[in-house]
Amino acid sequence: MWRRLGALGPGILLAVMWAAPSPAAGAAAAKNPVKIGYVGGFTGVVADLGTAHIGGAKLAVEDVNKAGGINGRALELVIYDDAGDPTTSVTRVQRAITLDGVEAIIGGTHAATTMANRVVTNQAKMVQMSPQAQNRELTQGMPWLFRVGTMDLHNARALVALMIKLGYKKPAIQASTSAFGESGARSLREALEAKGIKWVAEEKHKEGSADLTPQVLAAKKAGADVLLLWAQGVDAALMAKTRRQLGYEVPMLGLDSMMHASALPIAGEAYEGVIAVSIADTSRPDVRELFARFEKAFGAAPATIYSPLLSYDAVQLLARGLRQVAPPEGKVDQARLKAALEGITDYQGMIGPKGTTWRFSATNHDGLPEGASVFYRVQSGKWVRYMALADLGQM
Amino acid sequence: MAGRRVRRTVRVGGPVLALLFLAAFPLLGLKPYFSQLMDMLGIVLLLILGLNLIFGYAGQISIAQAGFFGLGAYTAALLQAKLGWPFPLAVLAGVASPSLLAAVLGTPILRLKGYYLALATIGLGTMVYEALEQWQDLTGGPIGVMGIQRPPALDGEALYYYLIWGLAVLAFLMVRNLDRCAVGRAWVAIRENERAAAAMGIDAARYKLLAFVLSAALAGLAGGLYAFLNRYISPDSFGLNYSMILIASMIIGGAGTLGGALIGSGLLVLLPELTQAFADYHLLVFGAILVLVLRFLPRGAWGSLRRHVADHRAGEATAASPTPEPQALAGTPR
Amino acid sequence: MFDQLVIAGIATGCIYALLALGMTIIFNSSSLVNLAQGELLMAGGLSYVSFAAGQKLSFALALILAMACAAWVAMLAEGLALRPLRVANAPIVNAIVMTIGLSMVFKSGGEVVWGKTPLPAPSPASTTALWIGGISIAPQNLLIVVSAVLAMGIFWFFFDHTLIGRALQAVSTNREAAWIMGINADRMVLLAFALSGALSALAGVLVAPITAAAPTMGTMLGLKGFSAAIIGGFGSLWGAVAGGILLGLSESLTAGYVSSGFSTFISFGLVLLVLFLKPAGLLPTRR
Repeated sequence: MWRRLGALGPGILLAVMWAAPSPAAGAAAAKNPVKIGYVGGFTGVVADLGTAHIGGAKLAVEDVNKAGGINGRALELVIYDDAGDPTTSVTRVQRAITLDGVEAIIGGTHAATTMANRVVTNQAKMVQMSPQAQNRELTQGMPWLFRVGTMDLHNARALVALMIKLGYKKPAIQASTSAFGESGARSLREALEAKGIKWVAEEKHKEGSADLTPQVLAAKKAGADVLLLWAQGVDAALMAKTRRQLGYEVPMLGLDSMMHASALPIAGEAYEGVIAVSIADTSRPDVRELFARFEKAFGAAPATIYSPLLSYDAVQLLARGLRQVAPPEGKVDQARLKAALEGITDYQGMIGPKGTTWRFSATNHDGLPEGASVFYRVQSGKWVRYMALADLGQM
Repeated sequence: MAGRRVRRTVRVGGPVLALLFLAAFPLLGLKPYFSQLMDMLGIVLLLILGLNLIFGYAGQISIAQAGFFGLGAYTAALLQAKLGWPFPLAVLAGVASPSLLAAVLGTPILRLKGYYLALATIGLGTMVYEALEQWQDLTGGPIGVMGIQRPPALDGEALYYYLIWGLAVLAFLMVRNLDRCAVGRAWVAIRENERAAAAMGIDAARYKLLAFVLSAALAGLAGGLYAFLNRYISPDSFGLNYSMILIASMIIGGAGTLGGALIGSGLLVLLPELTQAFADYHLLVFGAILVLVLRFLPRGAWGSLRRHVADHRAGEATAASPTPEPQALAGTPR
Repeated sequence: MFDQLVIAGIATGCIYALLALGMTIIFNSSSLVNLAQGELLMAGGLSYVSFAAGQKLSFALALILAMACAAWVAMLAEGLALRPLRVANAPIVNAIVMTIGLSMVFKSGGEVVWGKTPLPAPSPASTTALWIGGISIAPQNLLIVVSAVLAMGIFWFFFDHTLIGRALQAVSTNREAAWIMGINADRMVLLAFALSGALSALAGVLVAPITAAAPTMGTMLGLKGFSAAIIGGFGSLWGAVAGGILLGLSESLTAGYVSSGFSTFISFGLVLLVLFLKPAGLLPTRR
């Protein structure tokens, strides 16, 4: 008898899952909303990034609706989880477009998924905002994709500029073996070459490694006087500890992925003096207010400082375009939406120091200008704003 | 009697209906979402049919299927996107490259048994994945291969769908015929007891290698089709995790059975879509179903169904209850 | 540089050795390869964080509780999922795939319980390095090696010099004979699983302060543990240890001298080579 019951188990599980109401259902459905699909990774490898992203998006939707929505119509976010997997992401975007009738897509949470799913919106000729991926190929050949964020080349150049200003001459590149890391390493190489600097070592590590001694030793052996990092928080923390343990107390400069909430507690003292470059400026009162709202609404501070801001700006930019073209009822004309977004030349959002102005055009879908970077440094066990890139000249 | 007539109708009518549905599908007003799902279903079916050959029929644990899938996809993708090869040649090359790898490494690998074999195939699959990810000059590294172009004739969804399913049906028939002829029987003999099979004069090594190479070929075909479906591939899709999910799907459906391959593919592709509400728990449910199936329904959905029907028939003929026998993963042959 | 890489390799190797040891203990008692071993490490690491960081318990207490948790999970798996397969005389393939299913359940279960963000783990070891003869030794690595050696010592003593340990050995050598002698094989297998879980939990507690504890921490480590057991010679306790150290060393040295990007590729290449040339492993089995 138990056998029979057990045999029915899988069937029962499937039936329950299929029939269960979605947790999102039950929220009051607005009349005649303008729906945008948000495809991100809320489970799996990039789960905490995705969660930080969607929080910012939700707050933005709130603000848009408070300010009158889209010409009186409510803006509605339809959320899809792709678990950080490119194949799933493609299907999710398809579903959003085909089944749920969204007017635009925001997503994915990292380069791997965005590179895959942008093909779908491109084929469907639908506008997509990408709130995270930094690799330069992202918008090439993709006329319907708009990048909300920075290109890693810009961040790399900022880092190199700082490095030169601080007087270091023999950098070692340390990057993770993911798409994010590889693209970053490539940008670092270019930025260094442009300044005529030769890096003394280039090392890679797998994300989540248990030991980074070989990579650090290779840099030490090559005589590097600074480490340039393009790594996830946990790995950066381990690298910081390892270099200290080996008596090789070189400075570490890197991308703001190093500022992930889990990194500092792991690295402890080893992180003292580490510098990160970011496009988020936490000295701005409106940014601080957004973080406070985030924590209040979702129970915890976001895992990274940039993710909520990127999604916030993505929604606001999209809303701006939608306001220009959305009819009182019915579907949005995608070509007109695209043109409206391309016509934005004066958007000032949450990203970058105050006054950073976005500029899109028919030929430029990477609207964030270069130079919107801010440096942070760990001082007395806390991340402190160090200076904006713009102020580098006055150092 | 009546029972037999019903069974015959189902046996003939079932596949005919299925084929009719497949053929008519694009005419139902093809929306991209549904065609994407059906396309993926066809591709996953190819993967699981291949896995079935080596694991289900021949009984050799292979956890390398995702690696072969990736090798096929990358071969086809790189040849088209970087060297401009025409679509048919690129896909054929995608079939050839994992087949070659399987042919070369198959002999030493298949000499191993049980968990040694499991680890060897894990190692093989992982090495392929690492090579795809690290050899950037060749593969583009983790950023993947973009700009894969279908020939203009196949740019439309309907034709590509027919291509995928045409090939999937062909593969299905091939596996079915292999299963019925001497090769299939040899595989089952090897699976049940390799030594006894050898004693009966079956060259186990050759048959196992055949299954391995065929499974790699089907995976390579699936890979080529996949690359041109999404027009973009990256190493993420071809890791060890996917190999395990393929095995899980095959077993839940029913290893060593054709119906099982269909059910398993359906589960893999459709489960995430039907259960959107529980995105957080997908892997948990998948694993739980696998555990439950192995515990209570080791023959999988199709295998158990078939066994149930066979038992019922045996029960009709005689009053004797069947003796409990070891529940193998694959059902009785045929 | 060489000496430094060796030290790092030995420390990582000890983690692999503990995992390999755990897998060997299970294999010896039930002829089953546990592909969910890494998840037992994960259960140990994450529950340790809950006890040590969350509840602020002392290291020793948190460690014992973490080991108990993992042991409990392992026993559950054996009793509910694996024993019925053994009783039904199912082919060993079923059991191996069952452990694959269990690893999926454990991994996502871990995500549900502890969330997806990596959690920092406290450690009694200080963060200042010790300098001996020009080589820097991280106290955490020292802790790893010392704990591993202690654990192995305890196990050697247990297996060779206590009644229960010898009963466990008897079951692994010849089940029927052991049963005839009055040893309850089922209970012994349960014990083996508990011990294996505890060992893997220890590994998890030792590695968590380095990598942070996350539900995905066990997957790759479990695979490396499996590889280590095979390299050393599956079934042999000393083989598991030797295989672990060897794997750790080769990884560290190839990452340092050959290529850091291709180190996993090379590691598995080595595994394949061992499997092709000497599948019984590099050390003779103690059977």
